[in-house]
Amino acid sequence: MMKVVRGFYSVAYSVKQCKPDVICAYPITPQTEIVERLADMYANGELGNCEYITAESEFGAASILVGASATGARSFTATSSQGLILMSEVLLSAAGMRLPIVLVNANRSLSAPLSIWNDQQDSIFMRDACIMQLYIENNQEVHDVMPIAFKVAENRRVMLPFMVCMDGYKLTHAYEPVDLLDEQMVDKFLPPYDAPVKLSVDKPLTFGCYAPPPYYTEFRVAMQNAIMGAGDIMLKEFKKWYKITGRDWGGHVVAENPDAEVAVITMGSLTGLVRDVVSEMQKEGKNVGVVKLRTFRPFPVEDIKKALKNANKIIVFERAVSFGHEGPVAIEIKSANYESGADVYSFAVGLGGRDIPRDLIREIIDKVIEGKVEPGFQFEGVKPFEEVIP
Amino acid sequence: MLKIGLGGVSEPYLSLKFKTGDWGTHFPSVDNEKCKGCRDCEISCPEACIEVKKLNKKKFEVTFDFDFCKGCGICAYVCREDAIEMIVKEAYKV
Amino acid sequence: MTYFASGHGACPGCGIPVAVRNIIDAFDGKCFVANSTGCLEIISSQYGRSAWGVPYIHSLFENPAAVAAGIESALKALGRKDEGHVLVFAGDGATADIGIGPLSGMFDRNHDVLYICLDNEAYQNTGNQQSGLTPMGCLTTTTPVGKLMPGKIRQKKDMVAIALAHKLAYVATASVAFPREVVRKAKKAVEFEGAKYLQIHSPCVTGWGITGDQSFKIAKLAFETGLYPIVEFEHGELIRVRKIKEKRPVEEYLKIQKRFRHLFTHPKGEDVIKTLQSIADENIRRYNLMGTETEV
Repeated sequence: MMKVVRGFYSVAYSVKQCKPDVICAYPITPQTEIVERLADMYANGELGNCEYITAESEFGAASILVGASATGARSFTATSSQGLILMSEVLLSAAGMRLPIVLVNANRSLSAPLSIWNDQQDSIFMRDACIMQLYIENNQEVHDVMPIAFKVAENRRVMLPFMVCMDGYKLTHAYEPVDLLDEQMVDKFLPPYDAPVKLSVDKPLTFGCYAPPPYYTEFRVAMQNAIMGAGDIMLKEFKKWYKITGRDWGGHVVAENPDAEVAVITMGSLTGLVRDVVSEMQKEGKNVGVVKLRTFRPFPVEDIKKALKNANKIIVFERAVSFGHEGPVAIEIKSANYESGADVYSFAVGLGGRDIPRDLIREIIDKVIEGKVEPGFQFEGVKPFEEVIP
Repeated sequence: MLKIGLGGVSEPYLSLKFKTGDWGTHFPSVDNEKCKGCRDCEISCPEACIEVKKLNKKKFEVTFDFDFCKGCGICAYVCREDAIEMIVKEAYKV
Repeated sequence: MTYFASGHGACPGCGIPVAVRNIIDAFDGKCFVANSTGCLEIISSQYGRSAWGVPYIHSLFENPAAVAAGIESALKALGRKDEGHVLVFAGDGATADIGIGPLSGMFDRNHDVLYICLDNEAYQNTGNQQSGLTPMGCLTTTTPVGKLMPGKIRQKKDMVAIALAHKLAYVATASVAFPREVVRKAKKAVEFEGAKYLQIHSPCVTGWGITGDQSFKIAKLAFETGLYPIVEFEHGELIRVRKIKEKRPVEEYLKIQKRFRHLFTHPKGEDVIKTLQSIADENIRRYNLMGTETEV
């Protein structure tokens, strides 16, 4: 059923159709409306036997889901920014405990200075947590991705948290037409969670053991194997989803113009604007193309290589900074694609919700094509400033 | 080949393979004639290694599992009849 | 048959295994345990040598109350509520310090969870650092004794009052030295729907500087001086206390523990001892502890 809805409703409705057993969250802008809509559904008895809990903090919310998931419950939360960072200790533990918690992160900048607006510093910070990360371009995509997230997380060969990252405000608060999922369709795709191990009196297992040096390494290798293997499992589920819904969001990486010599990489909602600028440039005869990076963890090395095989200049639009180094996505791209020798130009734009004008995108791509800028990392759209002691 | 449980999940009761009987310097010795069967030693033992068996109406037999007894002496302290004595192990005698 | 198996790594004379085993055995293993990082966790849940015969989970130092809330919610959602009681075993640091936020949240939402604080009065697993439940005058590695300082300055945090402030149906204290009373209180607690708090005093052989065979004796002394009142509240009402037959001066309790011995020589020690005596006297007055009735 096609309906014009806001991003948070698109998430909440899709999560409802996934029939979670326990939802637990703590409000934080700009995620709050996701859990508010779920709270509405709970209050109206639309969530079946699902328990909906408002925790005392994001730390508490994630911890509650550790207990719930270990007991065999399909578990969901949503958060943003400081909330994600407050959850981080628990989420790292959940990954190590192999608990398939699914969360939506409404991407928002990190303090300080405090900013409620959008960039991707929060989820990028979670890069090394052994949590799957998928970035969303629009609100139909996030609607379609939620059942896939549960299915991949709960796959016995994966059993890891899955974080769906959607840009705060830009997606969460945007109105878009969304084809709302039908219950039977989701039921067919996503069976109830059947935990391979769970807390139960009948089979009293011990969860969360500490591992001395003779064991620890093997547990960490098993985590790496699981998340590396998750990539192929995701691709299979993407395909199955396409068969059911007819909507194809592509794989981990979508190379929209694979022959382009200048590749422009984006992640998240900025893709639409970049695509617009690039297609205008293509009409002008410029050999430039868009590479949409969807899956950030596991990092799709082979897909990136394939997508960039014809590129000699690679532009990355970064929505975060790896302070003390450079753009975090560019770091990954260089590592994946180092054999190609292509130049990588990394630009941090739109930090803390600063507007990213269409002209700025055009200007940046133009100056790379024209050789007016050296490869490397820089901030764009920055005002001249001087730091003073007040 | 090393087998590791998913996410560090472990089977129950594996500690039973690890004997702690050699930890202590002392071991308990009981005078069963004195025992009145109150079971204070049994419920107070941190190692769950004491069993009080009822032989007949008046007679009880206290047994210690020396595979696990750490020789802490709580049993001797809680015994109302002073039936348990802690004895230093041969190796620790000076 | 016990659900907390032998072969665990507790120090000889530690009362924690006594309390834990008697409680989970009293529930015939029909319970779920969420445990904080700490002594109990480290002695019982090393990979490959679990002592547990009940479903057990450890996640972090500060989150067992929330994890237990999650277990309880999942059991409800999955229609498995009758499978067993949900218990937390957490140390005093996890309870009164680092985990007090999630604990307050669990109390506030009134999850059907029995939270049991095993109070050995410092971070003993890591070698005796002070916690909010460390008593005044106590020597710990983070409240050392020096020319200026006579050990910990502030008094023990009143967790019972904090629990009562959450309007819990059942709040009680107990001591490892009275194992039958521990069992009675745990069984009583689970009769109440919602969150319950039970705080069990448990001497630490290494941290307190005592011998293993003294642990029960010292726990009893803590009670007999009035320093550790054993009380029981239902719906906010004090309904029962363990009565002190013969009151002991606090010195008797302090002098046999290495962690307090400096109070008898330190220039500020006399004042600390006086204050501790007045705390004990106030406990006795407030809870009407003197008497002859005996608990179980």
